[in-house]
Amino acid sequence: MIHEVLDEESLWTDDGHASELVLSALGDGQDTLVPTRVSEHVDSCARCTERLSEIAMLAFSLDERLLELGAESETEATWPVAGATPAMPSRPFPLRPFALSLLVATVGLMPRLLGEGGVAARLLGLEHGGFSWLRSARLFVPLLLERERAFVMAICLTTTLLACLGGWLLARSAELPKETLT
Amino acid sequence: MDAAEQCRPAVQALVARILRRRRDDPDVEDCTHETFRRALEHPERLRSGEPQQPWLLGIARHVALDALRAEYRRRVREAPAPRDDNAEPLVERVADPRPGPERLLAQRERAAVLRRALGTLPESQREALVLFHLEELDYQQIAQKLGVPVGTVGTWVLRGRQALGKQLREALGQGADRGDS
Repeated sequence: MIHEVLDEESLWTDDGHASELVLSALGDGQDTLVPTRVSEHVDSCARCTERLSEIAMLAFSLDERLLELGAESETEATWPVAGATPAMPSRPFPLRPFALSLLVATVGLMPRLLGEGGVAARLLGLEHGGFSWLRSARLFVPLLLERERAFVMAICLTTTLLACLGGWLLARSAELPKETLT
Repeated sequence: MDAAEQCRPAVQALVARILRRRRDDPDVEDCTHETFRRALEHPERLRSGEPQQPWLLGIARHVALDALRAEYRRRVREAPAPRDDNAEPLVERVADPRPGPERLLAQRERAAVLRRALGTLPESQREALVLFHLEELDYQQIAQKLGVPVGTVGTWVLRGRQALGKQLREALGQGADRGDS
């Protein structure tokens, strides 16, 4: 196997020291890529060895962290992808099966809902002269608005606040990492 | 004085610079001894006519970098977990060598930051880093796998690390890349 070496123009800095590429390669134990005269310079130059030490330390720390991350990713079986939000694996809501099952259930319920004496008829009060609850509401709501305006306003406000809070919680839960939810 | 012994000060100086210690530090002494031990064990690796000092310095560089890595790992393992006053007493934790919840939480936070940082790297740099650090391929093997010159691999690894190091320092503080966290 023929070993390549680093290009001549990438070996030195303008001020005559070894380049960061050389130091990084030596720090990674890739000595065969660095010509002997360059590695000999590094070993005898105070500035280059100190820089080598710094570059090697960065490599060691990232090595540890990448290994940590690799071990974690093995259990999650996911690798980071450019531009992706890394928090949760995306599992799209199964909209089609859900809609289909709703449709089938509705069709199955039709006779029970709409038949004579069915649930719909009872709910709408059709058995007792039709829409009796609607008539009650038409009398009750204006009366309530007239006498207990503050009470009605408080109910409306509370409902709005609860709806907003619910919406915010839903949006927040989508951003949380998976482990936070379990 | 033996020719190899004449090289001892240069070997000590190189080891001390890489370890960032004084020349009389016990770790520097240990690495110097290890350098000479390896040289004595494999004298055939010095080609005839080749000067002895550069050869010894090359061995010393390897020994010192190995020691630096071992020291870094030891510091990371022994780094104290974030303090929690409500945690159980130390005596009750001694029996269980597994990392505590605070350390796990810190690890997960670091992992999340690193994953985000990796996601921002160009595909080439990320791939080179993963192949080098996780797949444990050398530059030459990565170059063959990706079909690029070996110098390009070196540049991707270097630039990728620099970018990750910068992002981790910003996200986790100055000690992030020295194992102080």
